[in-house]
Amino acid sequence: MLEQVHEPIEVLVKFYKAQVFPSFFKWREKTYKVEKVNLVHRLKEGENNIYYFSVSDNANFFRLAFFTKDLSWKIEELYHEA
Amino acid sequence: MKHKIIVHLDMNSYFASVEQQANPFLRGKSVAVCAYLSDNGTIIASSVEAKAKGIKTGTRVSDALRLDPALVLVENEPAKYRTVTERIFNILRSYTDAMEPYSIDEAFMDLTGWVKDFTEAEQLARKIKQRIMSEVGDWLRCSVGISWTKFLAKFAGDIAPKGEVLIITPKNLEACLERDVGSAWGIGRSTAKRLEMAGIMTLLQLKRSDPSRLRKLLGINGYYLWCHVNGQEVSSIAQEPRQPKSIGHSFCLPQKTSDKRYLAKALLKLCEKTGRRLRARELEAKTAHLHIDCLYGGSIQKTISKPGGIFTTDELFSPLHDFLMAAHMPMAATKMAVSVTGLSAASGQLEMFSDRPKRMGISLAMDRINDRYGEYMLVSGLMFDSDDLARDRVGFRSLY
Repeated sequence: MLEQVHEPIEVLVKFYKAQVFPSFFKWREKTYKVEKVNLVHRLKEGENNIYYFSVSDNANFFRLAFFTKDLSWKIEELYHEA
Repeated sequence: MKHKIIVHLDMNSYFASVEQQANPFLRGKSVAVCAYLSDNGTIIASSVEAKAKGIKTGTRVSDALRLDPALVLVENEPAKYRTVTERIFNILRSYTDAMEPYSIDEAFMDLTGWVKDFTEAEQLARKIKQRIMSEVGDWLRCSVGISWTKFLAKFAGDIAPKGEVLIITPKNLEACLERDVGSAWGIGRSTAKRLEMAGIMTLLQLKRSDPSRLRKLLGINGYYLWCHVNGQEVSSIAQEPRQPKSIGHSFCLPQKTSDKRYLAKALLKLCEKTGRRLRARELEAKTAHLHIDCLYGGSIQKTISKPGGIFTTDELFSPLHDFLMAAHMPMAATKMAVSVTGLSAASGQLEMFSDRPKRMGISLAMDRINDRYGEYMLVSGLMFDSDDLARDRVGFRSLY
């Protein structure tokens, strides 16, 4: 079941091999541990770059977005087995 | 002369595999990527699991759901596929200076001089496959063809078992060609039919045919086909991106309509997208084409030549819009396509009795604003509220 969310989140990141990856994030008062970063892709909107991190834990898939314009994070999608 | 070593790499079930890479809960499931999620939309890529249930590229969404009610439909996301392609192509570029992207999920590499022989090329191909899985995504698979010409390398990649490497050498060439004549790259349905009518049923028979007979039958392309299956190279790996022969966009209308106002809005969006790409490449065009498909197979077409050149969106849109407004629509339109041809470097020539240079400058200034603040930030009033029309899409033969 895929849900579109678009809500701000707090993110703790790690730097590995000169790249940044989300490690934990807090959404709706709950903290989620990122078990795996499956894919990272970029969308350019004018001078604003949005980096999308497709991540998962053992039960859910999340799509997290990082906006370079204001250095903010959002959760955009959530997928879980119905 | 020593043979060349050409490698063709083809990503398997590409868009669907990228979606399964992003979301591991889709792996092992029937997944289809669509341009639009509506029932009338068509599948543009399906996963291996969906293909096994008969869901192929071009299947209508409603039909696909009948074939597999558990099918997961995903709307296509070009930025995702382009990012993954860029990363894969960067891996390929690390092994040769002659890498030619052929489409968003296919590329050729000339490894002549970089590896000793086909055996070393095969080892390198397996290493590339491994690097794609470890550096880009562990769910991504590709087929690789290796031979001494571009045609044979692609043919090897096309007939290789999914996810495998196949080498065509002079020794196994004839065995590989024992297939229907229509099963090779560059032989379309009508060419295959003409060859079959001439008694050439297999690629092997094509190889053994008299080239002058093929030339009489199919013109110069007949001779090229003979060269292809006989392992004679008629092209080369382009080190720089080739200059396009045409630039264009098409749009399957979500509502079948003959409403000219709606069609004009869609036309302007297609002209703006085409114009943006034309100007980004610093090109201008001599000719513009409009093609509208209508219900029940009818169509309307118009070609407009402008010797002075087409550069701004307005120079493309205005004559096509005039034609559209005057055209009789026999049936509701289902698809619209705009393209420009006769491309050459934008001249920027000054004109004494025209304000064209000024309009070209305004057009470029608008492009810069949209580059900086986001696509369609500044558009013509007619395009207002057209976000859902002709959204960003990526085709299999397109590179970007």
